[in-house]
Amino acid sequence: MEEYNPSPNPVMEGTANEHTEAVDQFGRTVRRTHHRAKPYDRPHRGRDRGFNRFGGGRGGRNAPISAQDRHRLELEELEKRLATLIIKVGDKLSSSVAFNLEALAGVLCKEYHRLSETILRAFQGVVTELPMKTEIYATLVGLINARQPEIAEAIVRMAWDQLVETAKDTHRYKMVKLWLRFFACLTAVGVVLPASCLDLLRCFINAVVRDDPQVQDQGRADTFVYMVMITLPWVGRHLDQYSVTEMDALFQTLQQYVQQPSQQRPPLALLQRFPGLMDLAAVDPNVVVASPLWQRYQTAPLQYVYHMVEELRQRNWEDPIVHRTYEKFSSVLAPLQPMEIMLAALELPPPVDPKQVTFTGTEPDYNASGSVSGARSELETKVEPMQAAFRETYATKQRFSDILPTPWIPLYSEPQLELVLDHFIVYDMLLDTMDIFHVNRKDAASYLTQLQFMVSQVLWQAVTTDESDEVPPPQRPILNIDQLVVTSLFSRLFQLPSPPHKTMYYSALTVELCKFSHDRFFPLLSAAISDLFATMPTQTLWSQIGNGASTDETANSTRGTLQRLAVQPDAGVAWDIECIHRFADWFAMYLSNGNYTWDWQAWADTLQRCHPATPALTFVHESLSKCIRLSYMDRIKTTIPEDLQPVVMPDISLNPNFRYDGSHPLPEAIQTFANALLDQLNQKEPIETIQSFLENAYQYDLAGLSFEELAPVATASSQVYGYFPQGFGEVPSDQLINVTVTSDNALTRVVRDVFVQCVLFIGRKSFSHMLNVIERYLPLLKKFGMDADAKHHIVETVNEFWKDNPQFVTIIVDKLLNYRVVSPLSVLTWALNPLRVQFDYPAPFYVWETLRNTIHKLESRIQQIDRRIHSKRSLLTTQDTTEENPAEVSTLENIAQLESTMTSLQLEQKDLLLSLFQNFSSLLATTIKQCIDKGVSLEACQTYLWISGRYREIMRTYHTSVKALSSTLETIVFTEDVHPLITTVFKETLEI
Amino acid sequence: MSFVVQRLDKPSSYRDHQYKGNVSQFAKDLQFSTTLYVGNLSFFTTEEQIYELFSKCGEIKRIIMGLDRNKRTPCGFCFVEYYRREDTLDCMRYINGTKLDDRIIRTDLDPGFREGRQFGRGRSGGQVRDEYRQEFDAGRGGWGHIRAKQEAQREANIEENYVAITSIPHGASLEEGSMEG
Repeated sequence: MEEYNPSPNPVMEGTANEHTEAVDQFGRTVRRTHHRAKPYDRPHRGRDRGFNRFGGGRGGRNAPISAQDRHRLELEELEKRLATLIIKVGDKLSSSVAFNLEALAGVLCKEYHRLSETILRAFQGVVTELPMKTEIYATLVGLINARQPEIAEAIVRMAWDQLVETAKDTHRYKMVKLWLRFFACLTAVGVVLPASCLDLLRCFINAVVRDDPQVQDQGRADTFVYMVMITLPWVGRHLDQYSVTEMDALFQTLQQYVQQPSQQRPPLALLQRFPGLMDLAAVDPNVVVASPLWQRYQTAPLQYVYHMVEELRQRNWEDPIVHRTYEKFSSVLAPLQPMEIMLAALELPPPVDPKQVTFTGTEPDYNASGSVSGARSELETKVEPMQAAFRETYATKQRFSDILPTPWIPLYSEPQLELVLDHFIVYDMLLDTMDIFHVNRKDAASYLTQLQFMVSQVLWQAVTTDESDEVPPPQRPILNIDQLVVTSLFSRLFQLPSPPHKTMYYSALTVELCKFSHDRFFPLLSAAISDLFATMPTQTLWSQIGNGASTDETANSTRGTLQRLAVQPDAGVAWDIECIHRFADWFAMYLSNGNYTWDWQAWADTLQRCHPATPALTFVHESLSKCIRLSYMDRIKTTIPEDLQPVVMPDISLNPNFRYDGSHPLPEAIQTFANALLDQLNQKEPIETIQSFLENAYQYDLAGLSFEELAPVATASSQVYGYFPQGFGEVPSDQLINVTVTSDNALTRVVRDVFVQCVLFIGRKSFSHMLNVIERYLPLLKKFGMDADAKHHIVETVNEFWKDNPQFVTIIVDKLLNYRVVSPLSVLTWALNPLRVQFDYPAPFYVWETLRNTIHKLESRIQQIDRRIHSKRSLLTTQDTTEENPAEVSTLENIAQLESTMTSLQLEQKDLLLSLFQNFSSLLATTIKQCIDKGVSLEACQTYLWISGRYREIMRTYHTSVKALSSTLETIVFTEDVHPLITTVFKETLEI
Repeated sequence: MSFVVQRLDKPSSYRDHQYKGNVSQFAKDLQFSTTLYVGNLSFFTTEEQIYELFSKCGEIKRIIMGLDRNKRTPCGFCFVEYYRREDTLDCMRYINGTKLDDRIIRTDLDPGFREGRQFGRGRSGGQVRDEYRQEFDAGRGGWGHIRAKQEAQREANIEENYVAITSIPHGASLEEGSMEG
């Protein structure tokens, strides 16, 4: 521990002139120039310019410090040092912990009279931010209590106020859990009466038991019960000593609760990261990733935790996880008089029936300002149904979220590494640490790597006795904390519907862990990645694809030498498609931060015999194409063994696919027209010139062309492109055009095609060039995209132009959406083109990213406006509404404006979602029919696998909106004649 | 509220020396800014690579590449503007200090882009840091500008004084045994 030095830093004592004497711990003299001063000389920098006030260090700081200032500085310095000491104490469970704690307790007692606020704040901070050291801090309070009980009392009072405050807020129950743990530890230390602690726990249980059985607030009840159970290991022994009968009663209540039939609910298939793993495990016990405990937790998490606690109780709470530092001080702590806590102040949030639409406290009061303008209230009644439902879900969806740890992924298959009951507490702590430290991934990594020093050694090291060389078999599995860190990381990354933070956080955290301790984490991560990869299906199950028909021949010819294997038993575990996507993104970031080194040779065999479009091969393809985007083709190519390159390298080229570059056979008139237009665009002709030029073309240049000449160009961009040409099942191009051209629209389509392609060609150099040229010709582009068909055509043209460089498609479509040149609906029609079902791999990641961005854009816009309306309304209610206040009137107008935007956005979203699910439904229906016709089972059909995966992804991601629209969806899309496989997903979405 | 955790989404101590406005204005700009300065890029990193990495934290409004004032080529920095503040902060938390194009990049909250800021302010047209850099950095045009001049001078000296002799000066004889005489 850092030595405590109550006298302030010597630097502070003399005047600033004495600085030079001060030497830091490394023997370096203190730097005199400001830290911003550059090491090199930069003359002519006046120090009074802008911010450069400290520049040069000439004068300015030499003025003598006044006595008052010095006192303030001293205090600040002291505060900092105290805070550091409190944060650092107990970071390593070595023998010096006891000594350090005692010293620190002495210091705190001594300084409390002038730094009470700092000390209380420090305790508040460490309890809520360092979940692994709660017991250390409780012991510290105990030691303080032995010296000066009034200080300990103040700390306990502060903790109690915090608990009461956080318990009111349904969003902060993770913190309530930590405060409960603190009280449990305080009881164990002897600061709080066991009776009070038991009452506190019972307070939560009783809230559940006494609830109105009519109101089914499962989330609340589960949260309360979980919190009580996860707190018990810290205090169970003392409560048992206090009263076995009362504890028996408590356990009985808990048991009754967890054994309710409602607790035995099969997890939603929609939220399974490895759907089918459970069934597989039931059939074949040797399946690599199956583990009974994992399954038990997944099916009935609370039962699992209950068994853990009960087992602990039977072992008389002998649990190495809960270390008991306070036992070292029993002589000091035993004679203390424990405090009693007044429980009356604790108010728990009442249950809310999720099925009933009620406005929670965060909702603005609509009636308060509802009578001001007639127009507005009319508006409100018009949109109320959707809006009300939306707002309700928006406000309540976060209730008690994530308090139960997400199921871990059985990554490491060795049985002795299974997450046994005791280790669950560590898992819970790891997840908490990751969440708390998400604003500082470096600290997160540092605490995650240090965690092993914070739990007892018994847990993670085999105990050797000195006398004999033989290592006695450990009594229970040895915990490998680093492995558990990796497991938790992946559990969060793959959490469905979405992890608590952006997936990028988990990439960044992984990189940081490797930086911190490469030797420890690199091998573990490599093993985990390989394990995960090994579970991905590598074989398609088409044993009896089609009996004849032209598609079969096509498949034969294009797949060439590929063997059609019979159903393989080692086909792997079905992965959720979104998880594959996240894993690929994560892997690309991992490689990008690790110099793209990976042992591809180890995967070579598997990859060589992969069937096209199977998850394993697709994962590698997509990861590599992400790597290429982050870097460049040649860089990535050098990292892949040569024999593997033709199999895995995606076919990406930075060159556009420009139709009018002269190399394509085209009617001469069109080529000349395109060349002339390109010239004009190159010369940055004003928009009027271009427009009249285009109008001319309609009337004269192109008017003479026949329909037969126009048609091929008019339809050319409407081809659906397979993303990976190598063996990914190409279909003859004439089967892939899904547009009807008539003599009416052929010419318009040709002109549009020429114009859009030329604009894209001019802006091909970079994203900024593209934006520039789009902005320059925006009115014309908008004119070309007047109706839905035209917008769709533009999206397709962009896709065709950049078919070899999909990143550009995503970026440009995104920008065109912002400029409203294309509509969300047109992107949707493109992404869910019915012709996609002809491909084995119908869903390249970039198509889904584009679609996802489109939906997300609308959703986030709605949220943004919703928030703005809220804040404007809160302004209103603070003012006096009866007065005719000009500011108020303008605010009201503002709100009315925002609300009309909101209405139109919501209508747009409604339309989008409706047609989204309609299109999905019909795509899936076609695929299912195709499979039945060919006599292929659905599991064997790659097309079905990919499309249905994306369908599930979008359903669960937008589950709140889906719920809001449920009745409309039920009557329009998911009618009775829709295949049950499709409607099941919808029904499950409603249950999330 | 965080006590133990030091947030990574805080602006660094860097100040734009040509910022027009006072300290409080600057702080206020930073408080609502959705713009990031990105530094230590390779000269060869493209906008699309930047887009790919930074879009992982949210939708990007625009990217402004930093250019050499004289040559109008990328000179190792850029500005990234997001639509939303949360995404900007997430970027500080998750992307600052990770690698792009095999280089550890630095991001910093920025008061907002103004025309003219896209150009390097070093005497030679690039960034100031490349003016004084003493290390060789292949991703940023080799030596720093001052050092590059010194190196060029040294090369020239070598060329002049120690250039390899390819022809034998006139007057010497090639005949065998001539040395003996």
